[in-house]
Amino acid sequence: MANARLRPCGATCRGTALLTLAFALLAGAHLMAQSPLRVSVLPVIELPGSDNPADMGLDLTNILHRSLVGEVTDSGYQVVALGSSTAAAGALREGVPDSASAAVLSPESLQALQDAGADIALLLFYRLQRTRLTLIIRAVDVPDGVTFAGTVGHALADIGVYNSVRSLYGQIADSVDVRAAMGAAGRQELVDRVVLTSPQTDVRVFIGSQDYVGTVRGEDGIVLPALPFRNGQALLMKKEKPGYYSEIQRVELTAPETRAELSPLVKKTRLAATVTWTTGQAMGAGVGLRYYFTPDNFFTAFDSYFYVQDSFSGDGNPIYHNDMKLSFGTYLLLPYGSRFRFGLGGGAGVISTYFGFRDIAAALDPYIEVIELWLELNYQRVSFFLRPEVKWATGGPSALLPQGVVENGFGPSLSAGMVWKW
Amino acid sequence: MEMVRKFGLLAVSVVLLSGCSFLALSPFPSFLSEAEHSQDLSGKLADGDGDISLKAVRNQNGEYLILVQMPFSGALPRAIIMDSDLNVKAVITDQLVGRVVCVAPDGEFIIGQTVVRTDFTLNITNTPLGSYDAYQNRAISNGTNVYVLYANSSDQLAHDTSTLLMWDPGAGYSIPSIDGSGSPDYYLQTAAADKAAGYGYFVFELYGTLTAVQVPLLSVASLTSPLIASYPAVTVTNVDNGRVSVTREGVVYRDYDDMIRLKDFSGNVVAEQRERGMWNYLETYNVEGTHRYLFDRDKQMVFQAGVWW
Repeated sequence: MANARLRPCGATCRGTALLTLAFALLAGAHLMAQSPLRVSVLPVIELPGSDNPADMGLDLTNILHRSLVGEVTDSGYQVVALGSSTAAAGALREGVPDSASAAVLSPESLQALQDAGADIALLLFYRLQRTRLTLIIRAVDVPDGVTFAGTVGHALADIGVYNSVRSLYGQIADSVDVRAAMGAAGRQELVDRVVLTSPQTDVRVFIGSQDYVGTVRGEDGIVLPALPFRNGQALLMKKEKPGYYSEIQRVELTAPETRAELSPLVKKTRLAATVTWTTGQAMGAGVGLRYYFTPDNFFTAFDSYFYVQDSFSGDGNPIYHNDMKLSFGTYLLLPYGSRFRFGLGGGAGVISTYFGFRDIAAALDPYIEVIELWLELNYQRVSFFLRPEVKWATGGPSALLPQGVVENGFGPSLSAGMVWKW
Repeated sequence: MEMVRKFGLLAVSVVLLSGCSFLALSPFPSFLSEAEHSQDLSGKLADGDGDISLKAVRNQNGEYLILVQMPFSGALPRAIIMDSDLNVKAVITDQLVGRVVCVAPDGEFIIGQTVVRTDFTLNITNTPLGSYDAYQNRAISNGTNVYVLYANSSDQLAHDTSTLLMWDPGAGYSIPSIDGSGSPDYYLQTAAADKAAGYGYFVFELYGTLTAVQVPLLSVASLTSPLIASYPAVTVTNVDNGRVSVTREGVVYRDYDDMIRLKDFSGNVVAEQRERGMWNYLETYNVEGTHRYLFDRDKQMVFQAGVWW
């Protein structure tokens, strides 16, 4: 989970490299004109579940710390001596259980860092499993107390770990540079924290269309990687969820801490239930079930329409029909989200007729549904349709309908109905 | 849900505004809701098509439907006698079976040149009707005599006396004119005897116009001329070929627009309705106007149904 939140930073940084570079260039002169940024590299933190590096004869915490200090120094920043910030690190360590992302610097820790004159604090976490090393770096803006950059990486626990730390730091170096360049006034223009929530769970979120940000799994949402987003900037976020249509949503960043709810994704329809009412079969109704071979497009349907016939004459009595039909249909041209859609289909069925207790045997009238065309008023989970349909009665041993086009007084049948999709 | 509610209200409004006639629409013939009995005659009729006629008659034992088939194939003519519940009582296959059907004064069934006793056995020896043109002749009985009538070429309702009629040799029958015009082209479409009401009914056709006349049954032998002016008569036009029946309630006819109407002998259209998909059915009503019988030529199914008015 923690990795999932931090890992993409590298990719995101690549995706926003131009943006970051622009910030860096703009800030360059400003940076040079001011005193160097003071960075505190806190003691390296071993995450729970880690093997003991001493078993491998490695002084891993020292190696990692020196590596990171070296990178900071090479970047031209002043490394603040730990001094009192050791206490801050101790306080931090107490608050770090098993997740780097859960580590939050306490107000006391931040105060200690400020007292030491640090502008930025770097936290380096590691977990050693056999020879595999997981490294996490987080950068915290000390005055604001917010994490503004982070990254995660993997390495072998050997001498090459120096290069791994360099590579990892390189992924957040741009963010640190920009942070440094903005200064206190500039930081007001940055968005420190972007939280995306969704009414749906398991929604995968991307910046743009490629850079994976994380997966929304609950109401807490996800925090976007700390990137130098400007207040007022708009982000195009791509949302994905298995069984749903992907969408790109524009998210406006309107405050230093922006919380935005992603609109729900539209489910791909695989099954739908229908209710139908047809002219000439007015005293009854039909129900049906659709299965979509391709979501919201090509489907097969089974329908059963029960209706009563009565001439309302002096000697008339009800008789009962049940029309069962298997059909195939497809939507044409307009996509699933269109307010109006239309399509066509066809199929075959049989109408059974029962005369109650009268001295007349039940009858079966097979037919071919030559064509049905429908116009649909379409909403996300429900739609309403009008559907003229042409049936051809085939006749049969017990058929009551004459062979030919089935008419009901209005010409071919006209159905109105509703579709519930899920 | 608001959308669902509105859609439902619209549908209900349409139904309420349209009333029963809309609700009664169906792909199936409307008579099916009035049908009480059916009988599959496919195993009893001669193969192939043929000239088929239906007539409902009544004797002392009840009402019967007699279906006569004159096969085009050259097979022997046949008659199927069914009671009003369409139970088959007899299938008569004989060269002498013919289209002219009525019930004799003693209750036996006259079917062409054959007679079927009330126990449904064939009494062929009586040969009551001669070998005249059965398309032209209609037979009725007033309970005493049997009259085999036709419209002759002199605008007259003539009585066939050329054949041996065991119940009445035809003596004493006066020949009334139909409308007094002398027109040679009248055709006696149908005739029915209503003993309970005491009337006989004749339907004449002239150039597509049909005239139904109600006459006193007991005085058939001495009808007054001209018939149409002397007795209650009603005229109907635009009648689908031959699709007319006459009952105590009036004349029932079907037009070319699938409208079926009942017009009483005062000339009032008592009832009408549209009945589609009936081109395949032959139909006839009993003279009391309480039943109709329909025969589906394709399926060779016969139905007994109540009346629709």
